[in-house]
Amino acid sequence: MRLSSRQQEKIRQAAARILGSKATIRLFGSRTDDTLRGGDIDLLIETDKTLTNRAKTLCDLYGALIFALGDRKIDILLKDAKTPDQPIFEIARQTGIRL
Amino acid sequence: MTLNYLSEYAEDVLLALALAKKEAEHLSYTQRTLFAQPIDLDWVESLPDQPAQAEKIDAYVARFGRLQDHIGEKLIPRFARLMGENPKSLLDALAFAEKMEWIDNAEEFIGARKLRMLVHEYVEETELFLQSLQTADAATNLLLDVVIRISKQAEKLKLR
Repeated sequence: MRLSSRQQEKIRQAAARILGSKATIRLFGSRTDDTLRGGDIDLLIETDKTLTNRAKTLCDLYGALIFALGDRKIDILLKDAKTPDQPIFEIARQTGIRL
Repeated sequence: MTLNYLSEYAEDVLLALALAKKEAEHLSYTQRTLFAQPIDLDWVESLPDQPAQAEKIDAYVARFGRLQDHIGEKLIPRFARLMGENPKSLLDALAFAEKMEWIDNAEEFIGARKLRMLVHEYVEETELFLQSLQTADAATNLLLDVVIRISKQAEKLKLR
């Protein structure tokens, strides 16, 4: 995985601040491949909670992560209790690395 | 007399402020006319049959993005230089703006960038799309407020 332990910790802290410590975070996509360079940070963040406004929470996560990691390309998939499952979630669960 | 700003930057700031006010006016118009309608799930679901409304949303997102970028990339950095600061990045500039109380929350400001993508990409996911529009409405007020606060600061400094 091409994220330093410090970056991983910052991601966990940012997600915990917004969603609580029970949220699960997975890194998937090109950053899981050690042979590549650069690339977006793709995250699947899942919570058991039902969020009142998933769009707002996504924005909050994105803002917190940009300040934690610097201004870079970060793509976030956010699944709460009510989000219908999608094939991309399953792919991220199977191929991703839990942070 | 106390000189409390670097006058060589005043013209740059005034130009950026004039453009910001114009962009704010345009965004505010689209916000008003868009949200004058009852926007709910039914409305979102009917969008494919309402090209004029879909076009309005495009205009809204474009105007929102233009004002947000202009504030973050031009207005705040220029005003910061006027005040003797030299922010090296957008995040530095926003942190300075937060310190000056031009914005309440720099993270929230950056977070609102995500809305442009959400409103474009998730039209199929109606609930998320609706939430994105509602969040954009609130974030629009935040952007308009930044322009007001910075205008007041410019007036206080009697910039010319």
